Parts: sequence; C-alpha cells; structure tokens
Amino acid sequence: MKRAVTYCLAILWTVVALATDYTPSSVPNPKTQGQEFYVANPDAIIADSDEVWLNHCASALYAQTHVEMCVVALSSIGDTDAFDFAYELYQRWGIGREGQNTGVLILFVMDSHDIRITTGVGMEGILPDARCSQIIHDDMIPAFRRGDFGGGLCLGALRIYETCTNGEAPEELLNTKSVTNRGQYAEEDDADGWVVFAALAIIIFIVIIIIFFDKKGGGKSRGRHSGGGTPTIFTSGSDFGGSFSGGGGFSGGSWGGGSTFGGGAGGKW
Amino acid sequence: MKKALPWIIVLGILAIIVLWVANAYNGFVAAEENVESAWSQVENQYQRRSDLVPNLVATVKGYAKHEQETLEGVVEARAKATSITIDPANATPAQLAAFQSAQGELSQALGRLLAVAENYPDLKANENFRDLQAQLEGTENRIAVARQLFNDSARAYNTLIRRFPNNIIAGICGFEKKPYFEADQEAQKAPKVEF
Repeated sequence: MKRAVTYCLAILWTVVALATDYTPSSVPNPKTQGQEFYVANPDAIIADSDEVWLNHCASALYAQTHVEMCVVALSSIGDTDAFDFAYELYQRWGIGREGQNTGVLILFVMDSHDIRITTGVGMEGILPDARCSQIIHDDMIPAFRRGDFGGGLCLGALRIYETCTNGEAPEELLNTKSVTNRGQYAEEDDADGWVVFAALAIIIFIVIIIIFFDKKGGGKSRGRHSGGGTPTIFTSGSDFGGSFSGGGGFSGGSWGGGSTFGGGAGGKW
Repeated sequence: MKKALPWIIVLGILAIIVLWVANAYNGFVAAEENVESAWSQVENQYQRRSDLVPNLVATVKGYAKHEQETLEGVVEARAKATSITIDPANATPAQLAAFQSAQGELSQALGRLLAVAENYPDLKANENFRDLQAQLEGTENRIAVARQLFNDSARAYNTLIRRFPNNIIAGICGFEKKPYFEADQEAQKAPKVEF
C-alpha cells in the first residue's frame, strides 16, 4: 500500500512539474548566467547547438548595433494572451539599452502554438511591425510546422540580424534615442527628499535650542542627545536630485533597462 | 532671549508646514506631467492608426472597386476621429468618452473593411496589403498599451490628489480629477487579423 502511495505521489509530482505554466516572474532570466546569455530555454525546446548559435547571433548583433535580442521558448503560459505575456516580460526584464530602447523579444509558446516578436520603442524604424510579420509568416512558421522549432527560431533571429546589420541600419540603431517608459517597473523618483531632510533639520534645530535653553535655566537635568534620530536621515534612502538605477549590482549580467510600447507582430503555427 | 523661544518654535512649525505644502504641490505637478505625457502617447498611437488609413483604402480600392460604401465609411470615420482633440489638463469624462467613441467607430469601420477584404484573395495575397494589416494590428496593440499606461498614470494622480490632507491643497490650487478610458464595448473592439 505504501509503495502505491509513493508511486502515485511521484507521478503526480512529475505531472505537476512538467505542466508548469510560466508567468513573467517565473521565467528564468538568462542574464543570471552571465552577460553573454540571451536565451531562456527552461523546457529544452531548443536543441543545445541551436541555443549556442542563438547566443552567438545575439552577441554579434549587440556588438554591431547595441540591439539586445532575447529569445524565450516555453512549454506553456496557461491562458495568458501571448501579447500580454511578452509585453509584461519585456518590461519586467527591461530589454534594450535605456535611452535607446533597441530591444527585441522573441517569444515561443509550445502548447498554444504562439510566436510573438515584441520590439522596443527604438526599433520601430529598422524593424517595423510589417517586417516582423514577414519574418514570422515567411520564415518561422513554415519551420515550426515542420516541427523544427530550434531551426525556426534560429532563422528568425538570423533575419532580424540581417535586417539590423543591413546597409545603414547599424549606424541608425547605434544613434537611436528614445524615451524609456517602463511603467510600473520604473524606479521611484525621490527628488523631493531634500524637503524631508530640511524638515528634519528644522526639527532638530528647534530641539537643540530647547535643550540649550533648558540647560541655562534648569542646571540639574542633562540634555539628551537626539543622536538616535540622526542615522535615519542617511538610511532612509532619499536620493537628492533624482533617481538612481538600482540594477546591475549582483553577479551575472543584466538587460539594459529599455522599454516597449507593445510593437512587433505575432502569429500562430 | 528666553522670551524668543516660543516664537522660534512657531516659526519652525510654519517652516515645516510651508515645506510640506511645497512637497505636496510638487508631487501633484509631477503626477500631472506623467498623465499628460501618457496622454500624448495615446494620441500618438491613434494618429499612427489614422495615418495608415489612406494607404489601406487606396490598396483595397485597387482590388475591390465596388466596395464603395465600405471604403467611404472608413474615410468618414477617420475624418471624424482625427477631428476630436483633447487637452489632458482640462479633460472631462464626457470629452474622453466622446474621443473614445469616435475612435471606436473607426475601429468598427476598419473591421468591416478587413472583413470585406476576405472576399478578395488577390488582395489578401498583395504584399502591401499584408504589410498594412500587420502595421494595423501592431498599432492596435500599441493603442491598448498606451491606454493602459494612461489609465495607470491617471489613477496614480487621482489617488494622490484625493488623499487627505493633500486634497485640501489640491482643491486650493485647482488640481482636478482626471478621467479614465473605459473598457471598449465588444462591438467597438479593434479588428483582429487572422491569417
């Protein structure tokens, strides 16, 4: 009986583990492995050799154009719409350099047969929606229909690379400037920290004056230092004059902090 | 000198109040700036969609000359949609609803046009038409994102100015509540392109 229960539990656990629906927060970020990693392939949908190729392609693309290309292949995202998921993931990771927003996310979802390319704000000149749609329908979907998932993704990445390195495109991309808007993932602007500091300074000034007068008049009671309050001014995290970007302080790499408005294209195979 | 002490305390308290008011006011201004910049994005994306229409109409005309009514419907809806502009600093819910409704009518007209295009296989195979369809779908997605970002910024602003005691300062300085985009009626949803 005990064995049967153990087997049942093992099977149940395996089924649950294999049936993971990813959410934007649970997808493993390839940058945690290092700056040279651009592919999230937790379900081994992409073959090893294809994954290596994709990383090389993305590295080359970045070297020539500063475009950050990310490829994510997942078995399932549940009922979530592929566009919403890709948008969320893009914004969460902040793909593309801040201030340039030249980033590309390729999302592949196995169970819903979704393929989605989401482009950053700065890509729209070189990689407009129509071009993304062409790449998806002419190059990637035929390969997926043949069952060649890694190959299809490689071909799509190649087309993106070709489009971005063609003619004057690299120069245009390197010089792109656009406003970053990361919505809820934006750093909090704490430029009014000086007001809090000034208010506290005034309070302390008053307290010191009170103590000063107390000492003169009373004599016996010793003034208590307000030292206990001082450290909090400096540890409250108020930044004077603007926000600092907090990313990149850990080992591994990070994306550039760019954003998207949801551009790109999608398709089903 | 001791007589001056109460005055010093009063002055200190006044100084703190002034600083707090300044801080609150600056917060309102920053939040309002966010709303206005989010609004300009919304306008931007709707304008992109409107800009696609002439090319789309011309392409379809080349293959579907007899669909005059549908084509004219799109042109008219576009003219109406581009004629309504909103100043986000003074927008009322009614104005925003009118804007949204006009854009919704353009969505419907475009939907009808794309449905009609289904009957013309040559048109569907035309590369320019396919590109325009892709651009249109991309723009509809961006519009949805821009509207969401606008609603988020409007919500942040409204929450800020309605809190006590901020609402006192907001009322004195004339900061009004901002309207939201409502969810589209099902009929006004943008055309979904299926290949």
